[in-house]
Amino acid sequence: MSATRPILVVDDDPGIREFVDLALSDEGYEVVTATDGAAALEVTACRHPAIILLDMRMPIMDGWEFARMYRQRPGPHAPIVVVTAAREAAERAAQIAADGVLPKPFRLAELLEVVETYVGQP
Amino acid sequence: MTATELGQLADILRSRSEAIADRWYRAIAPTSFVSLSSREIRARLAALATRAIDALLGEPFPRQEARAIGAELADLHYLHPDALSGTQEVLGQALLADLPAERSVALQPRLAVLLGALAGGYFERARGIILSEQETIRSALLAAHQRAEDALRVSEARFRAIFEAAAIGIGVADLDGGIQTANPALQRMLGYNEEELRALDVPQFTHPDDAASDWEFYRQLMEGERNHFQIEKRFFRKDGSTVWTRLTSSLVRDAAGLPQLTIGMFEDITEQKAAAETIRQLNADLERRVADRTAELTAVNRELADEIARRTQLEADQLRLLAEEQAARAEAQAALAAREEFLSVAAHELKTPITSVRGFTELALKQFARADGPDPQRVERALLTLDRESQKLSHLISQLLDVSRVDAGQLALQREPTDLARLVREAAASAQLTTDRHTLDVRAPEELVARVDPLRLEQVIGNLLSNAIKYSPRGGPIDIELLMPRPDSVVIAVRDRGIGIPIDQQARLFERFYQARSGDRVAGMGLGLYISRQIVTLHGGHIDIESPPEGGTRFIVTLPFDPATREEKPET
Repeated sequence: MSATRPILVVDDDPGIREFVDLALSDEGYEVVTATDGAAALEVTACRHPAIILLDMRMPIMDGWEFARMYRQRPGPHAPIVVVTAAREAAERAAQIAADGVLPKPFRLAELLEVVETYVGQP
Repeated sequence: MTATELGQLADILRSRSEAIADRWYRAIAPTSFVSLSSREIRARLAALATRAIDALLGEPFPRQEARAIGAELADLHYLHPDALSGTQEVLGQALLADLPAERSVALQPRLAVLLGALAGGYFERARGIILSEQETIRSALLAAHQRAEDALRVSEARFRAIFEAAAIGIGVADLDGGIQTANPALQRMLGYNEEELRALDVPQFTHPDDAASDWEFYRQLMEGERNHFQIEKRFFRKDGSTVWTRLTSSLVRDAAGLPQLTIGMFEDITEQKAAAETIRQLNADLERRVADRTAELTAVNRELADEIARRTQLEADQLRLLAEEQAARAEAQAALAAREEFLSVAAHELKTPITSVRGFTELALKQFARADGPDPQRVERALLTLDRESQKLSHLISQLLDVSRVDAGQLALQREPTDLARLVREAAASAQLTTDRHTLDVRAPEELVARVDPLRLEQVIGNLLSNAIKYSPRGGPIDIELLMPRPDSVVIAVRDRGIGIPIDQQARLFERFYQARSGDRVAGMGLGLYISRQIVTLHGGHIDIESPPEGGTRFIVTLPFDPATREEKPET
């Protein structure tokens, strides 16, 4: 069941998207990426992700707006983990009532640990 | 004449009494003085006529009655000279008229006696009346005289009492100043007795300084221009001392209005004068002392004011120093805060590419840990990404250095003649390489040479193009224009068809680290715009933002253009 639910990575930075995509794909997870909140909402319209790794500052639709609109939709809702370079990473996470936070820069092991915590082994 | 004859005669005469009364009345009434009505006078005359007839025939002749009739006539007629003659005429004619001759003759002597007695009574009464009236007048005159004398005596006594007892001096003098009388108060005031004063003329004891002071007043008194006057005047006392008086002077005129005497009333005001002088001196003294004290206080006040001014200046200096110190401190703190912010932003900006660098490094290393050896494709992809992210880091660091230079005022331009058309075309071609979703369309003249810093301006155009690409993620055309709207300015405009920027956020776009503001939820444009604006400003130009109604954003860079530089060829 979990294998059919992808991990959604929302970040406007192509380097981050690519790294997270590669790292999690290597581990056997299915990964879907989006460049901003609006694109991510489109993804969630047809796929129900296992977890959302969400950057906050993005053009078009930022993380705050995405979280608000995503939660307004009928459930179930995937856990959201905020991925941010902001110094106040925990504060950002609290602002949207996120389930977890992954401050940049993070290492590969930290990424895998967070995903495993919320999704389990692939 | 027999008694019978007398009786017959009496009847005849009595029958005539009314007619007699009528004639009598007509004869004397116009001259009557008594205050009786005509009817009353008429009735009395009728009674008197009857009594006169009875008296005429009386035997013996009633002399007293006849006198009484005369007296009553006098009462009635009140002493008019015509009354008696009129009466005698009326009675003489009426009583004897139409009588037989022998009777008339017989009555003639009786009538004469009657009229004589009547006249006698009349005069006697008249004399009495006159005497009585004279006496009345005399005694009335006497009484009036007595009353006048009494009044005069009382008045004189009163006046004398006032004159004698008055507290103010009163003196009467003739027009030459010779004193006629002086009351005791005046005598005491001047120290002379009345006898001595009568021997003096007023000028003899007048203070010489005041001798002429009342001449004008006296002239006015004499000429009737005023009834009295009042002045303050000094006189010498008998002992040689001076007395101050308030003199009220008036003039007495005779029945013809000619001036006769002057009356002077003298009030001794020597003490008042002395008191006034004392008060004046005290006041002068007081004023002098007040002036002295005021001068002292003024001096003290001036010192105080100087001191206050000095201290105020001191305080102002201190406040100024404090303000300067605070400003310096605030400046230092602002600089510190700016440095903090700069470091924070630098760290923030660097975190994302560093994450990628570390992540791909780990992924590459992981490949080498594989049992069947590394996947060359994976390793190559990691290395390519590493290269790209390193470039991004390098670019970021140079941007941060630029910001640091801007903050320190050290961003300097190196102007040289530059073909802006070429610069724009090259920048567009370079940006086109980074996207296949956008079509970059350049509209520029063949050549447009201006004195600019080519590297910095390329940085500006590159930044605008990368923003245009980034904020129109769905692709579409991006228009780049180079034009000269006016001979003295050049415009470079970049327009995308992207998401647009709300008006209220446009102004903030150029703020330093706008994107990095914590809690700020609007996705920013990074450091690029801030640096771009500094570069354009250093060139003497400005950047504006337009939001075309069809959507997207248009950034307009306006630079001043000096036509003189147009002929210069760029170095190639």
